[in-house]
Amino acid sequence: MRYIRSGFFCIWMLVACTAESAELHAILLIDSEAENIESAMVKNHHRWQKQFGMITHHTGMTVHEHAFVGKELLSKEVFTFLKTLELDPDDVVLFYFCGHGYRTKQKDNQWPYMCWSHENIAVDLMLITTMLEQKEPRLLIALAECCNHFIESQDWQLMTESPVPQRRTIIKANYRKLFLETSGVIVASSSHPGEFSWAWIDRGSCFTLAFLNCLEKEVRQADGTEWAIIFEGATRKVEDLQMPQYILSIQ
Amino acid sequence: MVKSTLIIWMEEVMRLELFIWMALLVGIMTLVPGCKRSQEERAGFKLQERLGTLIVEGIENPDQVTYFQVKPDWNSDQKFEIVSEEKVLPEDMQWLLQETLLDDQSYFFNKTKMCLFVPELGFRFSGKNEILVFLSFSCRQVKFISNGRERILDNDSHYHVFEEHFQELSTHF
Repeated sequence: MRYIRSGFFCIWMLVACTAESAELHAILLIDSEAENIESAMVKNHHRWQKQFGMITHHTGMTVHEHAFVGKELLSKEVFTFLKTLELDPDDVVLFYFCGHGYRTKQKDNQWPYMCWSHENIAVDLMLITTMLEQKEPRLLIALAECCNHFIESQDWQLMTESPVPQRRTIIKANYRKLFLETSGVIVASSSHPGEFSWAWIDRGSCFTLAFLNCLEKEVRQADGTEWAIIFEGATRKVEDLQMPQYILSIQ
Repeated sequence: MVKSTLIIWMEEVMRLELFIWMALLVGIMTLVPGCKRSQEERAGFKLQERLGTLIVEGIENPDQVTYFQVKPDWNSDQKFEIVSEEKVLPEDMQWLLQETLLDDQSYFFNKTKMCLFVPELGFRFSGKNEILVFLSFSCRQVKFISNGRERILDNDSHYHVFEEHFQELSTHF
């Protein structure tokens, strides 16, 4: 009986340690040099940093923020970093870009080109997603907050609901479900092919605000939550302006 | 003697009457729309605030407005290149352009598209302040340039005016 109890204890410790050892690598490409939307992009960065604090607090995950902001958003730096990035099988990768974007008629996938202003280059979201997928993280979330319109060619305000006080255990459980108990790949961009993406000049990008707002709301749901609900909610919040697109290949 | 005084007095009255009629006529003309364009083409308050007096005055009172084709040149400091000759914009189109550009209702002031601005058609407002105005039909945005100062505004609400009346100018070269 004593051995059985010790055995269970060891298994529990093993599971607990495995869960807690997962790390979140947040790769943030913040193009704060993107003409006309500079300050909104900086706001996006601050909002994510605030969210990382919440994720760490509720999941115990260590968040490694790898931010490339403004002049630091250089292809050599970013691709070297991506190539050398080492992940453990249980790690989560969040790739996030905000800045200008577009597509061409010849483009054969639904995802936008992301403009890196300092070098005047445009990088396919799919390219980065594929590179990161090859590293086999447990969960990959790739988000591009930018326009996806073709380049050749009601006043609406997001409500910021104040968080409903909720039992911390529920918030913790939901964060853990999203970041510790989910595996797979999530790719998203803030607008469909042919569409623009919008930013509130003084607050940040519409989709980023909607997404983070939904995340904060959903982790407070007593019935639990899932990534699909968060993306659906974020879509509803911005669909008058733009229609985000996302693929969730998760379990 | 009496008669000549009367005639002089009559002439004075006629002159005064003429003066009154002239004054009334001028007064009416300033109130009739279209008789004094410059009063109509005053910029909205929000636009003044966003663009600054220099740009607004340059658009309000140009000596001449010309148009030309413009393309992006990402490697230059100014990020654009004028690729055609400049043609004088006809007066009726100039009025329409000024009216649309100076109307607060043409723009969103609190939100913007995350769109890479690709200039397609340019206007030069020559005069005391020289102003360049670029239209991007793909982004539905307008860029104002003066003395190195640049501002982009989203003109979605009056985009159809630019599309219907000005996009065709790009084919003139």
